[in-house]
Amino acid sequence: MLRRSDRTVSPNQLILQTLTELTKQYSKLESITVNLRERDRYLFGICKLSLEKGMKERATIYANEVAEVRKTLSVLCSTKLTMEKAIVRLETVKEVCPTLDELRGLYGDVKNVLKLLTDVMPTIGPEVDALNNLVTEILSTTQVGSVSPIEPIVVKDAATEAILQEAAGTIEEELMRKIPEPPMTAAAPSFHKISKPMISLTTNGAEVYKDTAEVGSLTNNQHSELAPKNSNSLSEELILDYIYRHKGEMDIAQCSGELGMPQNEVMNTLDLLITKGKIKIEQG
Amino acid sequence: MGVAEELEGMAIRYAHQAIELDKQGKKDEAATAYQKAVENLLKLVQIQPDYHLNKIYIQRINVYKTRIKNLQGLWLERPQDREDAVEGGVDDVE
Repeated sequence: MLRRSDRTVSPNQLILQTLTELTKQYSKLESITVNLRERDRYLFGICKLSLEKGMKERATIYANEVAEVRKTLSVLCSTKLTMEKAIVRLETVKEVCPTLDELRGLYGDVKNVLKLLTDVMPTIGPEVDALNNLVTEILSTTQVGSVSPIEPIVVKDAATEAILQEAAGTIEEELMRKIPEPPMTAAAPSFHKISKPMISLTTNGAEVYKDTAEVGSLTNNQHSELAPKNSNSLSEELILDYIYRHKGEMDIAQCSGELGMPQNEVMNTLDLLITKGKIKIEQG
Repeated sequence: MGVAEELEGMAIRYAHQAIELDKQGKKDEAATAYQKAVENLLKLVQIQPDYHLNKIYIQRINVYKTRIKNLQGLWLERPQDREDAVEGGVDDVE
C-alpha cells in the first residue's frame, strides 16, 4: 500500500509509486477477470448440462451463480476502467504538470479507486493487519460445531431466467446442428429460356450446354437427374466465382475438378443460376 | 450409454448418411436412410414424452418426412422409378 503520510517523498516519486501500485492492482484485476470468465463458462456449461438432463432446479442454482459471477465481472470491468482513467491521468500529470494542486485532486481519484477496489477485493484493499484482525474476529465469532446443513437457495430473478433461456437456446442450437437438415428441393428450372448470350460454356467431354436445342433434349431425357436437389447458395457462389475468375468461360470438367464438385452438381447449379437469371449461356 | 443417447446417435448417423446419399442423387437409398432416422427419432420421442427438446426432434421428423415425400415425388417422374416405388417404396410414418 501507499504511505500517504510519508512527507519526505517528492510528488514525482509519489506519482511513480502510485502508478506502480495501480498497475500492479490493475494486473491483479485483469487476472481475476480472466479467472471469473473461465468460471462463468464452467458454471454455464453445468447449467446447460443440467437443463439438458431435465434437472431444472440444479440448472437454476447454476444460473444464479452465473448471474452473480457476471455481476461481479461487470463491477470488475468498471473498476478496471476507473483505474485505467486514474493511471492515464497520473501519467499525464507526471509528464505535463507535476504540481501539488493536481496531485491533491488525483488523490481523491486514487482514493475512490482504492475504495472501489476494497469493495471488490478485500485482500488488496486494506492493510494486511486489518485483514488479519478481521479474520480473527470472524473466527472467534464462528462456531464450527453448529453448522447447519446448507440449503440451496433457488432464486429466480430476471438475470437467472435470462441465463436459463440462453442455456436452453444453446442446447437447441447444438441439437439442431447435430441433427442436420436435408438439402432443400428447389423448383425445377426452365430449360427453355436459354436465349440471351452471357457466358461462354464449353466442356471437355460431351457438350451438354452446346446449344438450346440440346439442352432441351437433355431436359426431357434426364429431367429427374438434373432437377436441382437443393438451392445451395454456397455452390452457386462457388460457380459464380469460377465464372468470374475465368472471365465468363465455363468448362464443366475443369470447374468440377477445381471446385471438387461432381459434374452433375455443377450442371444442376448452373441450371439454378440460369433459372434465377444470374447467368445466361451462349454457344462455346 | 443410455437408450436415449443411443437412439439419438443412431438417428444422427442415419440423417447424415441420408443427406450424403441425397446429395449424391441416390434417392431411394437416401429415402430409406431418412426413414430410419425418422424411426429412431420417433422412438426417442416416445421413450421420453416430457423431454423439453422433443420439439426439435419432432421438427426434424417432419422435415425428413417431407424430404422423403419429395424424393418419392421425383421417383414418380420416371416410369422405371415408379415401378420401383410401387414394389419397395418407403412408407410414410405417422
